[in-house]
Amino acid sequence: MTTLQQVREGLSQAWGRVMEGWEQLSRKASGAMTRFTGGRGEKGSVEARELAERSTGWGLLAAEVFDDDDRVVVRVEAPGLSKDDIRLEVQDDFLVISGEKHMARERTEGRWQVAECAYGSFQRVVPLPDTVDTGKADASYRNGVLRVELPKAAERRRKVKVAVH
Amino acid sequence: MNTETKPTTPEVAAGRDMAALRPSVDILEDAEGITLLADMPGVDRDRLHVHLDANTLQIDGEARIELPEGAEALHADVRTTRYSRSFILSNELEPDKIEARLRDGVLTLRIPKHPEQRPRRIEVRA
Repeated sequence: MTTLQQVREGLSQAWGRVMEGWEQLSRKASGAMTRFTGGRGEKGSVEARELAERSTGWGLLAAEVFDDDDRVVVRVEAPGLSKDDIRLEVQDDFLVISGEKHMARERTEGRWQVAECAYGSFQRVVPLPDTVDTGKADASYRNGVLRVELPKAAERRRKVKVAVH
Repeated sequence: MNTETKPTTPEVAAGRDMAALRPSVDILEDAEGITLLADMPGVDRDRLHVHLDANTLQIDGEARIELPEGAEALHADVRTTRYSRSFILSNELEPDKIEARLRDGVLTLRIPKHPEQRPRRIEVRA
């Protein structure tokens, strides 16, 4: 397939997936289509060559934000990563998630019959609904889902003690 | 592998339709078989089903979205994402010898080709 055909294929496949899961997707944060660029591996490596063959470059990294009284929980679907390849940063009121998805290939020769998954470096910026205390952030990665829990900054917590006379 | 069939009809859960998402898939063919990779984030082994029926391969998975305790849900019910996709396997494959592995939300299937179907080098005698 030519590059243009692959891009069209990729986009129509992605659109098909969007239409099918409309109810689930309506909850998800906007900007889920994330650009995947070539990885940070050395140019000319086997992986770099394979990445260049697959020029679709877009992946669906769905994210959800839960807003509680005293914390914000961000959940990002990013399967196939290893913890060492995930970087988290809080900048102002944004959570920046960057990472790299490597191809797990046991065989070096072969032909792609279907290539829908995205590989390479990506970055996802999730707006946070409130100011958080970055020192107490906690993140876990399980079953391909990254879960980041950020307690809100002390002065932003909404729980108020009410004295009863 | 040729074209795929439509996903199974969505189940009706508690009176509410739960349409399934088609997981993104990579299919790599080499001389000895095919490797299929499917993105199914949030699915663990207990909620993954891989069925083989004659030449049809069906992949189903359920991803549970655990709401943090005390957080307000946007909808009142439990949220799960269903993934479903099926494929018709070509006759050169041996579906009985399928191997499956699930790690970090990525399902990897390996299906070998029949030994007679693999490309063979033919010795040319002088």
